Amino acid sequence: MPRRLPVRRDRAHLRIAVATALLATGLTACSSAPAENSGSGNPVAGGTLNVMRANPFEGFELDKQTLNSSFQISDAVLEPLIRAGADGKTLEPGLAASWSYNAGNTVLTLKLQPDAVFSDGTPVTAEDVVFSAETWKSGSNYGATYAVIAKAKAVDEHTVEFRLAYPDTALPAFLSWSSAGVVPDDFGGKPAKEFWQKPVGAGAFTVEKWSANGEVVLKKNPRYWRDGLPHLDQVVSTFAADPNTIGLRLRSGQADMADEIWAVTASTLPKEYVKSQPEHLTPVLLMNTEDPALADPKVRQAIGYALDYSALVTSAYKGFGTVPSGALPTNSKNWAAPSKPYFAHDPAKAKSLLGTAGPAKLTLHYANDPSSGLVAQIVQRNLGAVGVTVELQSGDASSTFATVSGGDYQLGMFSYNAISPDVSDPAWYVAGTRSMFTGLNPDPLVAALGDYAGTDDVKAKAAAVTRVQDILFEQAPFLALAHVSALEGQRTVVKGAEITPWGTYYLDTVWKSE
Amino acid sequence: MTAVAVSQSRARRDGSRTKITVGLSITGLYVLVALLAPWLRPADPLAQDVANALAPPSGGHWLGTDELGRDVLSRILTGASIDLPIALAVTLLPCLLGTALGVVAGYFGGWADAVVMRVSDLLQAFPMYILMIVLVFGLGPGTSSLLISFTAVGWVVYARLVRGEVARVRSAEYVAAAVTGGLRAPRIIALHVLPNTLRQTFVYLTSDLVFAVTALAAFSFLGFGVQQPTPEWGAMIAAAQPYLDAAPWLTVVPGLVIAVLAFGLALLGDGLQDGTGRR
Repeated sequence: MPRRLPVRRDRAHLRIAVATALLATGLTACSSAPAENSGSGNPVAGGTLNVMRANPFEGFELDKQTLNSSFQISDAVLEPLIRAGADGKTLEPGLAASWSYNAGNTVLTLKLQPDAVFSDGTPVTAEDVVFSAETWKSGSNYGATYAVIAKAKAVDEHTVEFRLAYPDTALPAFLSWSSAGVVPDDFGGKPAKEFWQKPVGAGAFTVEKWSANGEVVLKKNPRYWRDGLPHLDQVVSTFAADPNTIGLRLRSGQADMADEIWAVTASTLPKEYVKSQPEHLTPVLLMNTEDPALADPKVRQAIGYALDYSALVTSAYKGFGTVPSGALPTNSKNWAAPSKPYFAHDPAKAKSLLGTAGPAKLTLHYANDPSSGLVAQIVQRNLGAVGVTVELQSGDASSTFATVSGGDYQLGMFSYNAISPDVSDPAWYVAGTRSMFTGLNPDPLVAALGDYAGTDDVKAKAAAVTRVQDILFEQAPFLALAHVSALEGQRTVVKGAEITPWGTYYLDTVWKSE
Repeated sequence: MTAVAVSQSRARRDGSRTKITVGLSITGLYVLVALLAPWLRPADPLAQDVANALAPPSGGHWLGTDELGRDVLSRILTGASIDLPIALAVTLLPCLLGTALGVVAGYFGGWADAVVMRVSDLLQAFPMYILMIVLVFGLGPGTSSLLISFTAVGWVVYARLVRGEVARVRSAEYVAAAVTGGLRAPRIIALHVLPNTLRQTFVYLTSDLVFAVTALAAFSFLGFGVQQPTPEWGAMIAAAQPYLDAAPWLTVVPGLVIAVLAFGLALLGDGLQDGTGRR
């Protein structure tokens, strides 16, 4: 399952962004209405939603959350200022009713919902947001993302101003991350550790109890500011990773929803139980550019042409995906294609690029989950066909992630996606994680992304994204293997879940028809 | 001896022979399949045909195809040539090590005996499976890790068994005569001690093979053993787990293959034990 590590924007970004500030013009604003639930019929109030999550819950401390399963639960309690639209391309009001930039894109002003209160009845004020912003910035993981907020200032009780260190039109997208949840000023007078154990937020639910590998129980927040929401009285989230268990519990009615189910699980469920989102999740084959056998971009490109992407989509992802059209996840706002066609299965071209100096043997690290094992075997077969022997090395998800993120590998498998409606989100992730663990110099990517953030011109943004795609195509530090749909297992009695392309949804709009 | 006792003894001997015959037949069949697998299998066990994945048993694929469209029958047949040699190796290596240490401990006694026995006490204090899993986890998955962990843990039983037998034989008059005659210890052990102690070890070895076959499958099932795409039976069951509902033959067939082999080996071991009159 995709794991999100914090994006780390470095100083290079700051310099480039300042240089492009002169190009930035206009005003960005949003004040659209909250999303209506998409379920059929009139919502029914009450009931308990039993959800199965595929990953542990990492707790409510905002800076420590890296998994979709954590983001979703956290959002329900510690509502952020801005929400991600279900289409994965729009932003919607959260605790901020509207937001706007100044002409230079250096000041972001947010107007708060006037009726919003925390679950203990205290009103949500600009001072709370100022304290929250300082909390986000102090995090060792996500702090760098919010370092662009040079100063947070309460203009009045319901207006807050973020003065930016450099023009950054992408910041509202990053404010929709769960890491930007709003907390009460000074944690409501509690020590931080105590607060995170049972936080008080302005979200639709309150915390009844939680454990990482067990149940998370959320209760309806009767003071929630959105009229008529949430519909449910209670949400119980249970951790279960085994595909057979998930399938059986859904069918038997013990679970109402199962988040982030594997394609193989989806393929065995009745069709009406499977909600498939637009293709977005992007599994990748990582190639360590610092390994002598893979240092030459031609070798990495050759591997790109050796792979049978159709076989991967058919077999490993059971048809819930498409062949890759670029290195960046599709169905994101401002996504643009590379200027040349992305890699396709062409063994002859692969052999030609490899020449006589290609690597004879490589080791591939992968997690022993239902999809990765199949991908690894197909990759092994494909590379064997062009003369490269691949030794497979499986491990559990955590140890495999530690291996590849530590750079101690030749070939590795990973999956990445956006967690906000902006293509720069996953692109920053690549740049901020040593070009996604491959050792590729991120400076050219950072330069392109700096241009992207510094402008609000759509064409200029598209050009910057194409530059990123081209770099990732020419240098091929990793290969997108497919663009895959996020899959949700859902009983037909469940309505109103508006699922983003990366697989999360807000719990307040969900209801059950029975 | 009464007529009843004679009759019981004969019945036990006949039962033992039957067990040995059936056990040997089953095991022999597996050995034959392992040896002839390259000629018996209808297809390349690694050849993928993703368009034909999870096909049910049919004329083209007698046992269907797996999640990558590979012929299950070919993989099962090839699995015999992978599982049997590894099972034999992970049984023989601890047997050899345990026998050597048991002989040293039983024959020489003293500090050698104390060291071997205390180390074996220490190892037996831990649950065997857990200790093996910890070792394989530390060493990383693969056949060599299995060999090391099985040997490091499995020698203890052989050492205790052999030590007891050697200590018994050591006090026999013919051994005392050999010592008095001036024969050196290695010669005495080789000529007089080992031949009179190995029968029990051999009987236990056949029982241990049953454990090796099932443990090997279990380790591969857990992802610690033989890695994909090698058609090892335990790994095949593990890979088929998500398809339990859609393609049950992927788990049932290798499961049955392991069960029948274990049954054959168990019968063989049981028959040999009955034959020796010891349990």
